[in-house]
Amino acid sequence: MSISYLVPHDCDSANPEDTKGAPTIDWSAAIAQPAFRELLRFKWRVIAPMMTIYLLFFAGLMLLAGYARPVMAAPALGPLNVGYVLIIIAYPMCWAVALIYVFAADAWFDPKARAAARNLARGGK
Amino acid sequence: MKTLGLAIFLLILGITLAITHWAARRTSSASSFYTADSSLGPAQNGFALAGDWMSAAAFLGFSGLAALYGMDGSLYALGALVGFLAILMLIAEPLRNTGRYTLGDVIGFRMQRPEARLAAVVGTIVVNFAYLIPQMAGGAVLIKLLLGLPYQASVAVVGAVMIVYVMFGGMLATTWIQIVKAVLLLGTAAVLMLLILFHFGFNPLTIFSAVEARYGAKMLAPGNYLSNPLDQLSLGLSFALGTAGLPHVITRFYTVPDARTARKSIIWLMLLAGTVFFVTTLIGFASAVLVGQNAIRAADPGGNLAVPLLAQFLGGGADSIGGRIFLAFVAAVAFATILAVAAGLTLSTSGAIAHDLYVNVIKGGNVGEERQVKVARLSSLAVGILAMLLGLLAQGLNVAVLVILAISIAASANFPIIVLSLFWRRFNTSGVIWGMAAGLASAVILAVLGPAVQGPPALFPIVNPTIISMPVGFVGALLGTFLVPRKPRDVARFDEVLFRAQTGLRTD
Repeated sequence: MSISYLVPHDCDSANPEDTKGAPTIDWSAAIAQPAFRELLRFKWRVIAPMMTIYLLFFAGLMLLAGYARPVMAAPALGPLNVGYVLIIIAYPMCWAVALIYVFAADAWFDPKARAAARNLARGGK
Repeated sequence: MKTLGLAIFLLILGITLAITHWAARRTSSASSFYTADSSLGPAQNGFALAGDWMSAAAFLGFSGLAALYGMDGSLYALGALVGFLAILMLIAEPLRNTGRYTLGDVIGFRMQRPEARLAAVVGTIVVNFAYLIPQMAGGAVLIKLLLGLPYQASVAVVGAVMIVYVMFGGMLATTWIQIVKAVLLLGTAAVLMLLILFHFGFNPLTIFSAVEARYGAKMLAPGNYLSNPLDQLSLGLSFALGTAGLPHVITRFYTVPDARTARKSIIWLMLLAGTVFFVTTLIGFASAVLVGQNAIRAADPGGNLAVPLLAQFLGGGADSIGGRIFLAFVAAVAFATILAVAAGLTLSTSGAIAHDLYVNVIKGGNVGEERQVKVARLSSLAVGILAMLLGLLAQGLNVAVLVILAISIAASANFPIIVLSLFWRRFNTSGVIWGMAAGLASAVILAVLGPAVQGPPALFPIVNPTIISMPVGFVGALLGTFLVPRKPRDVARFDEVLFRAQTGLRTD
């Protein structure tokens, strides 16, 4: 298979030093290897639900602030109205989502990514 | 006030110039100039990111909005935190893994075409200048307040200092100035919060009751600032996704060695800046209760002086020594804030000009190390001078619209081309160019037709155009892509980008 695209015009390569030593890597095989597919599947399963949750929460908050102002202004907890209760919940929620992601990335994504890269180095030789 | 202001001003100048002097001796290669040799740890980059992101517009602006308009200010502040989740989960690590110095690197690495890189250069320069000019104007207003210099001289001082930091100290100086500023700002927020809590019997809820008692329940409701509901949505969208398209934020992820450090630095940022954004509401409310909305409006109709006025009140009032010291200190911290943000913007812009435009597009990458550094320093000088000139022209104009424009263009032009470059196999150079053109043009045109420029009965009803211009940017990128038939080479190129972006593979 032609590998002309593997050796980028050096001018435009962000990492020219990376590609020089390894001009024969078959990248379509690299992304087809099971270790890499598993990494992507795993990442998707962690990231997609978390992004959906926080984007829906935040979009919902903004929609309420725009179109349901009486709801947001309704008294809720002591001097706080519904809107401020939601805003106060949003902060720890953001922090929790971020921490869960970092935990998942350190514990699961990184080892799988390293394994995929190791496989590639072995197969490329 | 003048002597005290001068003393604090000189102190900040002395510390930051000492940092620059120290950094200058360690800045000799292109990689040290642009990224401090990618040697920062998670806490260092986290504090520097916080220093970059907690601008004066954030600390003074969010507090002022909360003081005058209630919940809309709190929603702004929350948006500034939410934006980093998309950066954390989608953008930061792939960017770290595929680029070296700039946003243009990532686009150039994927597309291997100078035209694609050029589109990223345009997006970087426009967004950064739209951000930089309000910083110049704001910094000049604070110098005027501290030292009593006229506006023109103040702009010249801000510009000169910012040029010296970046030109000589590069990323290392910029980083440590941002770290120092972040610590100063966090300390100021902590002291203010302690004094406020002392005033309200250490129960933050009483601040809410006090606001309601004085200004009515409407103050705690949304819609006082952004009356059009679409504006609220559009603003949320800008923050949630546009933050990921800000080049000066993106560049910070090149200062760490790997993806793992990049993600940990975002946690630092989210905890530090998130806490500050959260307390801006309490600080703003305390200012509304203790200083009063009329006094805040009289000092500045936009509410930007709510924090300094509150500091003056908490220090003992306008005529007391404590009040004067507090006011001068808060003004000085705000000034340091502006310098740190301006330095980051100048560095990121000069990267786009020197590294992307000159070295890669014009010279095809064939530029020696020494010359690269020289060109980088010269372009930071040029960027600084141009920013000064634009800052002078901006006198008396409402520069707030530029901040809206900056984040809106970042969301509508930069964000689509970054995301599609990293995640869409079929995406190509034509898509990059059309996406950039469509997002940029629609954001600028709609902002100019909107109420921020035209006054209230405007052709385009809302201030922030993102809700329209971001979909336009994405559609432009899609249509541009399909204009050119699928080329196996382009499509196959994606495999390498995807693999490297997700694994951080480097062959060394």
